[in-house]
Amino acid sequence: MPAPKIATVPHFGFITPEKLVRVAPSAAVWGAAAGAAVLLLGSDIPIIKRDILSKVPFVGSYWAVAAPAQDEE
Amino acid sequence: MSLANTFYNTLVKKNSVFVATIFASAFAFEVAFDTTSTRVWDSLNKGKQWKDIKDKYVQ
Repeated sequence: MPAPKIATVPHFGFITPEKLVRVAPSAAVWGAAAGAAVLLLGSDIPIIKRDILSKVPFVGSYWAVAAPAQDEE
Repeated sequence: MSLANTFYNTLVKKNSVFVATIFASAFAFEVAFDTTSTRVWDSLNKGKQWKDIKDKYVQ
């Protein structure tokens, strides 16, 4: 009786496609959390205000007011 | 207890959801608080601020 053949899935360290699929929903929520953190912490940075936040529909005018004052200097 | 249980199960149970909720609500609260307090200040000081009387002095 031949020895059973052991098949290995492709992996990088302990990371395999199955594990990636399993953690995908949680990782997506972590990504959203990271995005919200960048917006919160970056909401005082002029270039983020001007290029990202002032272009948000409906509430973008909140950041648009501060941007021209920076440019007038 | 039902409201507390709903709060726990939807927002606190998973750490990723909890952290996302904290950052998103902090961002939203910052905007809402700033907008509201500015509006209250402007209405309490109506007619006293430079932006209200500017057109009397600037040609």
